Amino acid sequence: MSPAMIGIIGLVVFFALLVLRMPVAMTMLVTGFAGIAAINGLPAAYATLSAESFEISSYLELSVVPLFVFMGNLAGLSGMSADLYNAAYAWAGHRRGGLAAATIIGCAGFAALSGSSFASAVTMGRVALPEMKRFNYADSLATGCVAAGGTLGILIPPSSGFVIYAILTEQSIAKLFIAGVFPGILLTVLFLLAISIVTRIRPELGPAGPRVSFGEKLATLRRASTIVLIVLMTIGGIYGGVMTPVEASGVGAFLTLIVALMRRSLSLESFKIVILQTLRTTALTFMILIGAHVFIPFMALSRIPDNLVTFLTHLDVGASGILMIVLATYIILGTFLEGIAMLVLTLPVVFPVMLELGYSPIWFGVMAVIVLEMGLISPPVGVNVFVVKGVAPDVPLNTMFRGIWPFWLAMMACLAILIVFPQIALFLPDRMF
Amino acid sequence: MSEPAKHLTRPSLDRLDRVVRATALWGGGLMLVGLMGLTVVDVVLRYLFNSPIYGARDVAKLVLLVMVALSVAYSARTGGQISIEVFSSMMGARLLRWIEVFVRCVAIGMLTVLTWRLWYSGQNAGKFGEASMALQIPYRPFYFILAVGMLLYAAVLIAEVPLYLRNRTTDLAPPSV
Repeated sequence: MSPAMIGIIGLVVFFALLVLRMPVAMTMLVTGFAGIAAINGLPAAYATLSAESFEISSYLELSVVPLFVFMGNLAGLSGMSADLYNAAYAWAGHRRGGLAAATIIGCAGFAALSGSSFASAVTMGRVALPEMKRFNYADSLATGCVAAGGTLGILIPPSSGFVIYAILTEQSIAKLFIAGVFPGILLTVLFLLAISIVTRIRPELGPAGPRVSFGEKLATLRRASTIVLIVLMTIGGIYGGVMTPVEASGVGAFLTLIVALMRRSLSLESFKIVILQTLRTTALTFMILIGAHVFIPFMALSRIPDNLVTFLTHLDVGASGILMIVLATYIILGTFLEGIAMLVLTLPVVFPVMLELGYSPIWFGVMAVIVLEMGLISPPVGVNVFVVKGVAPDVPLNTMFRGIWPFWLAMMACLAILIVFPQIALFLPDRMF
Repeated sequence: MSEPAKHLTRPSLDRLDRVVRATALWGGGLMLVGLMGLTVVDVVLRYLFNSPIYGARDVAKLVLLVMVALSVAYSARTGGQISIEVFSSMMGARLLRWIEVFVRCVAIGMLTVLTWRLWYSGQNAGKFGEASMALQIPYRPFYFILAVGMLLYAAVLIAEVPLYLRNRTTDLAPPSV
């Protein structure tokens, strides 16, 4: 049997196992192992299995995963997310849609401490949803802005999405982190614009909150300044070339731990919970990467990616036409495939095509992460929406998805702007020290 | 017939839950805090005293490996592994139960092979003297630790299978965190 045929059978088995709810990491491990064994023999499959497991588990650059996740979990526990929300609330809450805007700004700030969209949505949801309910915000807008705002967690550095993209495509984690800064700010502004338009058309969705005195405003800013300091030291440290991402993640986690201890918000029990949550996310990420590193060699051996690259690059639609096809496919896949699984599965094919067409790998990483974010809030498998459902169990899923659309369109606008002005993503990484 | 008490229906899983949680919390947690401490001390010594810890990278990468090995089973047990749920609603409860058993059996097989190969590679690493670059820390025990971590993951799945077979899916609830 030809390698290409084995590859096609492998892909069919891969999707069949996914449909049967086998975990994504295990699915890649099983099909990758069996595929390599079928093409190159069992000894090659055995060698790949143990070598890749050991290599990935001891890959030092991946230390950023546990350390940044630890930092984000500690920040959520120590009330830093509430500080961010309170500051944004004090300055913007009295405007129409102001509490929703405060939620988005709070999410963007928290995203600079956390690399996970789920952590951002849960932490900010717990703080912001009760407030928006108190001021009679429509459930659709309230839950929609938390779910969408949470996705900023994987665009604004540190970002688990960028780490996985970097490892799969052998790009610099530092450059990808820094490339996410301006697009993250752009998307935040577009989300705010979406809230403004929605509440202008239907003011009853987001009534104005109470006005806060200037003294109180300054007090909230002072309290939130701790976070600004930590973000400046970590992300600023990476940009300035003072620290590597691994060093920045260690220092960031340590500083956040100190702040949590100083605020006395950390009991032994809550510390144990933070550790277990961190390890759970860490192990999940590593298992996916181990699976991917067994699956990707199988795909390469089958030559399916090469053939697809040749096919796609010879299509008579031009480079931008192919980019549109790729992004549209990602958006459709994102509606039912889990985002990381989608990246792992498609990057071996899509990434060489993008390189062949002359697109910057860093810029494409930003685009891929934004499309991944869209998948997180798209029905029927909008994982972030399910996460918010956990915080607001009384709001029906239909209502939540109805509230998502303005933010989804904002993400589309962000993609369009980045296609026209790729410099927004590339300006900072091109000027890194 | 009355419902048997929960602790009587899943004694092996309860015991395993305790082992898996303790392994992740105390073993993995120690590695996590250790990795953070090592990174911070290295940064401070490098930038303030211009004298980084010799071989810090060697230690850090092996600490990371131990952390992963000790947390994989806990992550699997607490639903940390991502799967695609979109088609579940189209399947009946009985079919879903058998699918869960099938998926676990395939995964147990895969993890057994992985454990065996990691153990074998560890023996080879010992034979050929594989070690870290700077400090020459031998890799042999670390292959074994990773193998044991994967074996613990397989043990979690093995303990879950009988509960699916006996339709005791409500007894499968993992530890809360």
